[in-house]
Amino acid sequence: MRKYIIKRLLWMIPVILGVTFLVFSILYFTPGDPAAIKLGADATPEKIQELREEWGLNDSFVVRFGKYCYNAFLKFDLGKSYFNNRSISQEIASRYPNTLIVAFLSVFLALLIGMPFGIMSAVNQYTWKDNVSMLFALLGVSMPSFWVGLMLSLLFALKLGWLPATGFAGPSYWVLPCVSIALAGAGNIARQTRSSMLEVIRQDYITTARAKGQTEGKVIYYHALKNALIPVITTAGSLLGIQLGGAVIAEAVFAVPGIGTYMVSAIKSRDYIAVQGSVLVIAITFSLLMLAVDILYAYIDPRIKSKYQSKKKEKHKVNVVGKEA
Amino acid sequence: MASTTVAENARINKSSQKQSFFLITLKRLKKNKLAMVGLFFMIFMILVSVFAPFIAPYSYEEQNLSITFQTPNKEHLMGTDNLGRDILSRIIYGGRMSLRIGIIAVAIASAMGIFFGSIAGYYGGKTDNIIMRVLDIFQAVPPLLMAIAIAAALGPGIMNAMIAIGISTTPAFARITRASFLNVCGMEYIEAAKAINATDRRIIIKHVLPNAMSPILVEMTMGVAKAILIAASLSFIGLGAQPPLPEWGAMLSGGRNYIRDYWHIVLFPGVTIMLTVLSLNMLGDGLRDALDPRLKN
Repeated sequence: MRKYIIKRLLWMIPVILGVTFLVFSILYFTPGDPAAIKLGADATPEKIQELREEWGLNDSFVVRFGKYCYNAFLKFDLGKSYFNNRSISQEIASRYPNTLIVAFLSVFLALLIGMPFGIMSAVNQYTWKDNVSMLFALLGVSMPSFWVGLMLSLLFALKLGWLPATGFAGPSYWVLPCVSIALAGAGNIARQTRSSMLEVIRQDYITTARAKGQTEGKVIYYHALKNALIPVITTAGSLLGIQLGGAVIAEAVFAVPGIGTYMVSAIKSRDYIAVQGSVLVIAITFSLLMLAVDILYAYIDPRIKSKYQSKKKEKHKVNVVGKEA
Repeated sequence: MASTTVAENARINKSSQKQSFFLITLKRLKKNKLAMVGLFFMIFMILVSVFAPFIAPYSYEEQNLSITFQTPNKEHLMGTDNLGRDILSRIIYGGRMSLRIGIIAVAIASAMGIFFGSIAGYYGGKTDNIIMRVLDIFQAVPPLLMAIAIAAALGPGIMNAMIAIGISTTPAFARITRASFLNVCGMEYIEAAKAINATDRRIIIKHVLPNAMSPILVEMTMGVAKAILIAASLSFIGLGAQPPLPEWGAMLSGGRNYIRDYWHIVLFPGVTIMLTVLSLNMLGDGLRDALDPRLKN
């Protein structure tokens, strides 16, 4: 077990370096010279050259990448914004908690809404309950989340005045952005829960549980749901990544002072080093979360656990047998 | 003479076989009402987009500042926007943009995904390992974020949005192709093809790919839906289609400042996106069931 976790943790190093390389090279080949953009049209070539030198833009790709990695991972310094010269790390650090609140709350909401509907659909397969809830799930998946956000803010903030439309000053501000991206997630979760529940319900041990006279509620929640949860957790994990991306857009709608608003304004001012830093931070968070989900599996799913242990035991056995022979 | 008949027979057999696969799938798809609704709506949307100049009552860039912000009425069924442009016409022309982005992005993604996925699935071993590890790295960046980063680097525009969406959705196709290849490669007929010394390329293209196509087809249908959603998001933050082009996401982005007083500017493009994506998803769900061998009969 420990070996598995250590192996996964070590594998994170090349993944994170690879992601950094990927993001860095995508934005490295961006046309346009940031120094020239910063100084405007009437700057002299000497001045531009001076600024390029100061920002280290004249170094080769490898040197720049090496420096970027060194600063990012050893000093946690993502560089200074081309646009206003502020430290990107600090800007992101002050905004990121807001993004995380939106992303985590929306995944939680999505599980809260999606799972009951998924279970209900699976238990009542091919009845009107199944059809209606799956239609709603499909609707949820099919709506652009920023549009849902606009529509919700139109209804609840502008027409009814129940909730604030923009800003992020307290829990009442969290509701609309979270709900607007949670709907798509809820649809996803409901569909995933339904299909994995359906697979489990057909298994023999469910028939056994029913045959021995277990109440239907216990069969569903105790025997079936527990085993159907694994794929749902994967969906929830990858949903977090999607929500972190979706949060970028939702933040733009609700003016949440998070990493998304920062990124969008950086894109608009062609401040690519800030875009690079933001994407990197989100990607690293996401890969760490996926790692956590993978390790969580190994703990909650006895099948995975035993698979790993039995392999070890088998090896042990082979060794013993080999020695004896 | 005899040889021609044999060739002819082979040709007839082949075409009837191909048709029958298509017909069987269609027959099973027909039983699924939701999927048929989705299919017909998509055909409708495609026809509307193709014949946009004949259907749209106005041009998509025709401004008339004396009739700005009209709510839906007889002359403008969906009202007019902040520049007095007819929203219905812009949605009809916008279908050309959004569908084209969706289809071309999926074409890019599936071409690359099938290429890498089939190599990984067919050869296995080290090749497989390397390709999958690179995909792991690609998938560490959420697709929407990846699309944003690439589109930001390439600069705004429809063409760049297609490329960005195509690249960012490639890993999903590669994974599905690989999984499907792993299933098919264990079959006896693949062994038979190897036994008669067919080249790898021939086996992959002629024998494995056609039999591994079902899940890829489903993913392609759903992929168009995903691509349309990502394209709308890109346009919304100013990276996709640029004004005055009438892409649906761009229309939402342009109308959001007026939402307080003129809801119709934002409502109709959003509903159109929703219906299009919904019907593609319904079609994809139906295809998955129709192509699933476990659900045959």
